[in-house]
Amino acid sequence: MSSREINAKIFRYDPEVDAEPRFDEFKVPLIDNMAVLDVVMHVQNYIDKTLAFRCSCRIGMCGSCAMYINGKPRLACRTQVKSLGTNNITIMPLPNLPIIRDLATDMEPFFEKWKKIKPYYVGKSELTEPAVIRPDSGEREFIDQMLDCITCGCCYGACSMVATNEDYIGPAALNRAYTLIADKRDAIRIERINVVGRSYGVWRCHDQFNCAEVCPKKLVPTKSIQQLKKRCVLQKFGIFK
Amino acid sequence: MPNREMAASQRYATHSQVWGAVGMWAWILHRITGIGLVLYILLHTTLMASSLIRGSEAFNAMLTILMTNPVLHYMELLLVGAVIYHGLNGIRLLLFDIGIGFSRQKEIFWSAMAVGAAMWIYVIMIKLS
Repeated sequence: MSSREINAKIFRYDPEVDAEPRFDEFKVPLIDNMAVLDVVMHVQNYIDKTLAFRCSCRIGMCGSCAMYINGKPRLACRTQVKSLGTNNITIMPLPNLPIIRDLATDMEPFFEKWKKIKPYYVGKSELTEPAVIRPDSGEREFIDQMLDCITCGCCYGACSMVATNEDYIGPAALNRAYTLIADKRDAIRIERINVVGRSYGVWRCHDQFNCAEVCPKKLVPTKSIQQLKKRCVLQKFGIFK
Repeated sequence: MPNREMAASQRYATHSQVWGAVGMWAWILHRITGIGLVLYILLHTTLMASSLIRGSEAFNAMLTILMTNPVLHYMELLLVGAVIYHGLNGIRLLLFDIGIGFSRQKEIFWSAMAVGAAMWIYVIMIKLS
């Protein structure tokens, strides 16, 4: 890291114009505490205005700037250049998603699957009073942790099971399904179980942990998926209702 | 935007994967050893059964061929390695199935591999002595 210059190799592809994608190389001056998002912003501001990418909050909470950076899907805004340990940065769009242009991917397949599991809370109609969940019951502990998902799609891009089967719901949506199914106030748990308990649902997960490997929020979707698998089996035996 | 058709035409597989993920390689190796072991068992039972049916002499002749072939003799080491790997990684996966070890999956993998390597080296030493 002695050199004060970054060699950024960036994936370029406009499906409406280019037959094949290409890589463009840019020299970007290295600034202290620079994030990869600053690198692509520098390229767009000062070198090539046509570079397309998506970003919004710059503080790792909107989940817009997920890209495949030096061999891993990461949030560009939360990835310090220094943390990569090299000045050579290769940036590609998030895998497993259609490309709109350059680094901007179409998140539609991701959110189509997100919708499949009905990603919103549906309360039991007979509940008239707020449910009482004691803080020391531990019931919400794992659910609350898994609610930190920002739907950036890093796990979806890292999952080799998504890569080999377009229909697989994917780690993010399954994780979301878990947070709702595990909620005892949820009225449509069985409906959700019926969506996730399929071969393109939880049973496609083979415990590879690629999702946990790349999650910028340090979540472990594999664990939520295992919890779902357990509930799917229990439901078949009539124990989980 | 007519999203569905658009998305299909814009799909370009970059074939980028997380090649450094231990869990993925563990799974790939698990699948390879699993398929290998199934094929071995099929071959093994077919050879044993077909020669047994033809009587004791045919069985002894078959065993002699199998046990004296130097290539097959050393390929047994591969078989033992596959059984050890598949078994130990299988235990790791069973731990996940009962909800243990999600935050320590890599450590569990490497510990299992250390145990497996020790077992395999021991078997190799016995075989070569």
